[in-house]
Amino acid sequence: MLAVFGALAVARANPVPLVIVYILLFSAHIGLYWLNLKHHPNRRWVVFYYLAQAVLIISLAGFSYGGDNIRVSVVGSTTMCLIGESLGLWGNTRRSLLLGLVYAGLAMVLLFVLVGRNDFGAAVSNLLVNGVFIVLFMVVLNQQFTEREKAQELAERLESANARLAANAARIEALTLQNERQRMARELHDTLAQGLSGLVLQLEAVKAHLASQHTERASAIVDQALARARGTLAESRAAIDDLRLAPADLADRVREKVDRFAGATGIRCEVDLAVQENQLSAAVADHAVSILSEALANVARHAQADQVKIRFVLEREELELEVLDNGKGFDVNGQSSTGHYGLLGMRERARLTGGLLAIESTPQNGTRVRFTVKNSHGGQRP
Amino acid sequence: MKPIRVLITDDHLIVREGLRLILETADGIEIVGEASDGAECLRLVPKLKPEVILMDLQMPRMDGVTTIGHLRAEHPEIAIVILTTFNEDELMIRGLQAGARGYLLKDTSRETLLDTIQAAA
Repeated sequence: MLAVFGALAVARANPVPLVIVYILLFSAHIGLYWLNLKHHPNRRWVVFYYLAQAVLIISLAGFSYGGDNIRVSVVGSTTMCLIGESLGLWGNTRRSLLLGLVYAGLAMVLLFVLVGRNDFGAAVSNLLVNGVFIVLFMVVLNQQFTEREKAQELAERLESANARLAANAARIEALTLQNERQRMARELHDTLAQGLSGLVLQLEAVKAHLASQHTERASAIVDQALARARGTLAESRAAIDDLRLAPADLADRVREKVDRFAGATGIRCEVDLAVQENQLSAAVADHAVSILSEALANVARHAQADQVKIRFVLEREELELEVLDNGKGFDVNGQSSTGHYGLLGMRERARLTGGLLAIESTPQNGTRVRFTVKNSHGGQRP
Repeated sequence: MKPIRVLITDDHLIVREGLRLILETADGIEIVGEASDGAECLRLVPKLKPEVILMDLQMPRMDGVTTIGHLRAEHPEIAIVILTTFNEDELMIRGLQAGARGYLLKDTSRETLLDTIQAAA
């Protein structure tokens, strides 16, 4: 402020650079507008900005360059611009009302000082007529700016959300693969590792009996071990077939999953099964069976249900898989993205097939998992 | 000399059978029963009163580590020996921390199995 008044004093004393100082003051006024577009959300900047603009307007009004008419026009246009700007930026708020009143008051005082009491009424009328257009122009201009700013912010947020979604999708895919590896490890552990461990123990027993000349007993154990070895081989073969996801009778696979679930949990199952071998693409069938497994596993782990209805039906080229339990349910919206890989895995499988997965549940009212997919979708292999 | 009373707890029949066949060849060891999971083991212990329990870790319904915790609290006099396969190091450590007295690989030799049971008893 001191600098501005200092510059004015210099300008009055030296008429030659007068126009330069005038241009500088006006440039500062316009420059502040430009800066305010960027910094207006900053509260400290807002206080500085409107004070600085008021000082500049007073300085320009006090300038003798150009005569009274020019000074009246400058006061009128600059104050109206600021009123319009504040309305455009802040809208129908207390802040813009306060700023409007302050700048209107400033305009009145400066006009009164510049034109005196006699011409004050005419100057105000003139200001009102011309000022309306300036205010409207500034309102529209600044509204457009704020809208553009909002759109840009929204675009940035969308871009950021897209990046997060892509990262999550990659993570889910990695988790799905990890689950598959864990399943393979479990299968190997439960078949080959246990079977071979048991056979080693039995052979140890055979060795002990042979060392003690108990050949009959040793022979009996060898027979038993042979039977167990064959059993282990059959189990391993089944596990390997399962891991290979080789084409099998889909209806049998579904029945087997349900039977195994019912046998292990004691939960009563009603099955509506209408699908035949080779009606579905192998990839879609594999994903559908895996979703069924995961849904049943969730019932076993969490639902505390005593009845499950399973629908696995292919009609008019669309597969409908539904698992409905009468358990305790859960808050679907309350599930964190990190806590329930089973649900994430099902969603990932549905995504890979191009199908739809809907999970409906409310506490104490059971859970319905529904997966639908068009058979025309080939689906990606798990 | 009174035989050591052993209870086998493993969900795989083939492993239980193998252990039983080996232990049958040893004097001084009596197999008092078999359990296919931790819950069954806890049910059998008061009735069978084993001195040593051979305990698998990965089992349905109740796993080995949980079962060991219960046994430590309710029957601290029983020696527990963990049965483990090649990929269960972390579980085995948890089992030992829970109170197991030792561990054995499931494909162990007869001599090691018998020595471990006698040492644990």
